[in-house]
Amino acid sequence: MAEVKLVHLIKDFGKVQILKGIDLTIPDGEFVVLLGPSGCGKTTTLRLIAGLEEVTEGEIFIGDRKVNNLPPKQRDIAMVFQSYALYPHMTVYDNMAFGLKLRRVQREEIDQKVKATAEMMELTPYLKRKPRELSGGQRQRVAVGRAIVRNPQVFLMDEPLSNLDAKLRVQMRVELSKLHQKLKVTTIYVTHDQMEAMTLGNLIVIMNQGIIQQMGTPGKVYDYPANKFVAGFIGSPPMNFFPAFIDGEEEPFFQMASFRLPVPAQHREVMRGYAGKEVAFGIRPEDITVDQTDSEGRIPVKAKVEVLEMLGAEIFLYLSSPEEAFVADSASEKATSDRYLKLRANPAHSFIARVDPKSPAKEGDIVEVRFNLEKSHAFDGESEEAIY
Amino acid sequence: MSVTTQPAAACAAPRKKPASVRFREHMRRNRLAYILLLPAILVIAIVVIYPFFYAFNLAFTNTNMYNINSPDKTPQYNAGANFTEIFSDPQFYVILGRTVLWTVINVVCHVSLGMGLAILLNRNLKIRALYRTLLVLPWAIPQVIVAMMWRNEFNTQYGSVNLILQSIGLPAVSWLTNPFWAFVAVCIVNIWLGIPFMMIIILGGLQSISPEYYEAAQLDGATAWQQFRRITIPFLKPVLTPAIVLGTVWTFNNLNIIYLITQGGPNNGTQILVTYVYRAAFDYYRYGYSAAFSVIIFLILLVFCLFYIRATRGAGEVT
Ligand SMILES: Nc1ncnc2c1ncn2[C@@H]1O[C@H](COP(=O)(O)OP(=O)(O)O)[C@@H](O)[C@H]1O
Ligand SMILES: [Mg+2]
Repeated sequence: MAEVKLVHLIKDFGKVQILKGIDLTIPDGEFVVLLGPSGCGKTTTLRLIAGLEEVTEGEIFIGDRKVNNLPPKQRDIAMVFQSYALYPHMTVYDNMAFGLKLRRVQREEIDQKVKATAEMMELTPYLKRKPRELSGGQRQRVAVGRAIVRNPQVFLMDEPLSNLDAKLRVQMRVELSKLHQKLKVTTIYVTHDQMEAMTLGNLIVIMNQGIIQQMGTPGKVYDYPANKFVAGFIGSPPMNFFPAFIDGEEEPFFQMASFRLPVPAQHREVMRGYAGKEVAFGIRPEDITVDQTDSEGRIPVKAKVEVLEMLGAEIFLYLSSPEEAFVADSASEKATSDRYLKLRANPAHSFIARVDPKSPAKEGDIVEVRFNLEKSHAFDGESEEAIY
Repeated sequence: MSVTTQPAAACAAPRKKPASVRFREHMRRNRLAYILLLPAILVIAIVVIYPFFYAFNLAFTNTNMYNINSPDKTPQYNAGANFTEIFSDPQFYVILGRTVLWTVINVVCHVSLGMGLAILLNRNLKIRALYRTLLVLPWAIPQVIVAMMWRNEFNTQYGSVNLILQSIGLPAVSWLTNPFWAFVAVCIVNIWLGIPFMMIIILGGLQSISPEYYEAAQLDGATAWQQFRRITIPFLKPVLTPAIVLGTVWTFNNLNIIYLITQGGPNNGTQILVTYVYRAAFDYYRYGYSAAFSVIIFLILLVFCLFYIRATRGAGEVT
């Protein structure tokens, strides 16, 4: 077991910079999920740590060893490939024993380790089979078994569950979690599936375009996204964004194309600084309600239900706030403002609400929606960093 | 007794229809397939199957130039006298040994050099197109021309081989007049000729191996040699097995190069079984004797193929 430390890691492929300076410390024994959209450089990061790819710039430490120039086999890591990469001409037993044999471990010790691992991974009945005689889930377990049998310092897993069907994926997720609790080996787990990341990781590292966007616990990255990308990437359906600008001196408000909302009291101070500037107002689907009555005095906004998705325990409403819904008392004075004209150019918002299945809304209805502003977010219009 | 056997018979009876019925059903179901295959079957029957049995029959006769189309003599069955003659001729064993040596040297060099080049080509992307073209060249030139060309290159006085040897301070070799060196020369030519085929086959095999297997092996701690031994070879087996079988048969039966360069000489020093048969048939016109010789060659190769395919089947197969 060991800490893994990446210091300003840069990777170029030809003229293209794929990783643009990754700084990351993964504490000893931690299970970290590297999350990001396809093509953002997750696999490349893992391959650099594994030594399968050469670092362009920066340093990699495993434990207190700098491993930049060590070949893969001296780094004491094991990797589970996305395609598993099980040796097709070897039995399950030989697949797991291969690494130990190459390291000249005693035959009895190999046998004992492989059998113990097979027992743990529930593979004992399949030890004599070839990979092609196994189901997807069994192959996946062999791939994990092959990694753990060597008892490496670090596990690298590259989307190990992506080839499994949805049900099996959930099951394996739980098994991997348990396995980590038992073995306590530092693990870096790559996925593009935010659900998987949220349920698996003690720590989530969110990457985009070769840059780490945010690192934190699932709760933290969900409730306090560091920027608009993270806010939009974590959560399903994603956070709704409304282009807006800040107006109002004492009591600033978000001016959207067709409605306005007050800035929550605790954020007024910081938002005053954005007066007249473009921002993005963000709100998660579950923080929008369509109740007809509202005890908390929230401002209603009219919206049309375009599509209704019934999921059993909840309903997703795909809403649009039509242009006609606009009612603003200060329209005349704002009508001359450039910013306002810009907003007006694209007046229709569409957004998603996640509501109670008992909600009476139907497709085509015009409903009054209310935003729980305490849970709202604001992002800088240019840098897209979170303001609050 | 009858009580115990009857259920088994009763069980089998409804499942197995009479062979004639099954044959008719099979023909009805696959009629179109057989019609489409008919031209190919006919051609094969005419150019392979008929000559095969003809030669087999010929092998047991004393057919030669004087009695084959003669009005007053007819070929006679000679009760295996051809075979007796072959097996009691010490020359046969010398030539058989040389044929085996020739085959082993050639196939081993074809496979090992072809594999080496294929691995180099598979690795280096930049020069690949150029090298591939250059290396396939021997294959693209007609063998007659290749043989002519090499015969000149091996000329003791003017051949480039000796010129090169002398320029690096080595003595000139009388390539085509010394039996040992003549054998070396034909081996060199045939190796040069056979490499491209193996290289292309192996390169194709190499390119179908996903790099992830090597990466997994590297993480498992495999050295370059261990990766070659434990990943490359097992993955190449499905392409190597037929390539080696074919290569062996072709080389064993390769008449062209030896015949065109040395005619089996000097002093029979480069004679292999097929060149010897060719000589017996078309220089000495001993048709029955040659046919018997051919049958022996055929049986040797058949036994080899059966053993080789059996030995390489099973363990280490990759699909
Ligand atoms: N060997 C390579 N040569 C050139 N470009 C590469 C290579 N490997 C990856 N890339 C590029 O790097 C980017 C990141 O790839 P990758 O790390 O595989 O992304 P992810 O795993 O996050 O989906 C992609 O745009 C990909 O095309
Ligand atoms: Mg990837």
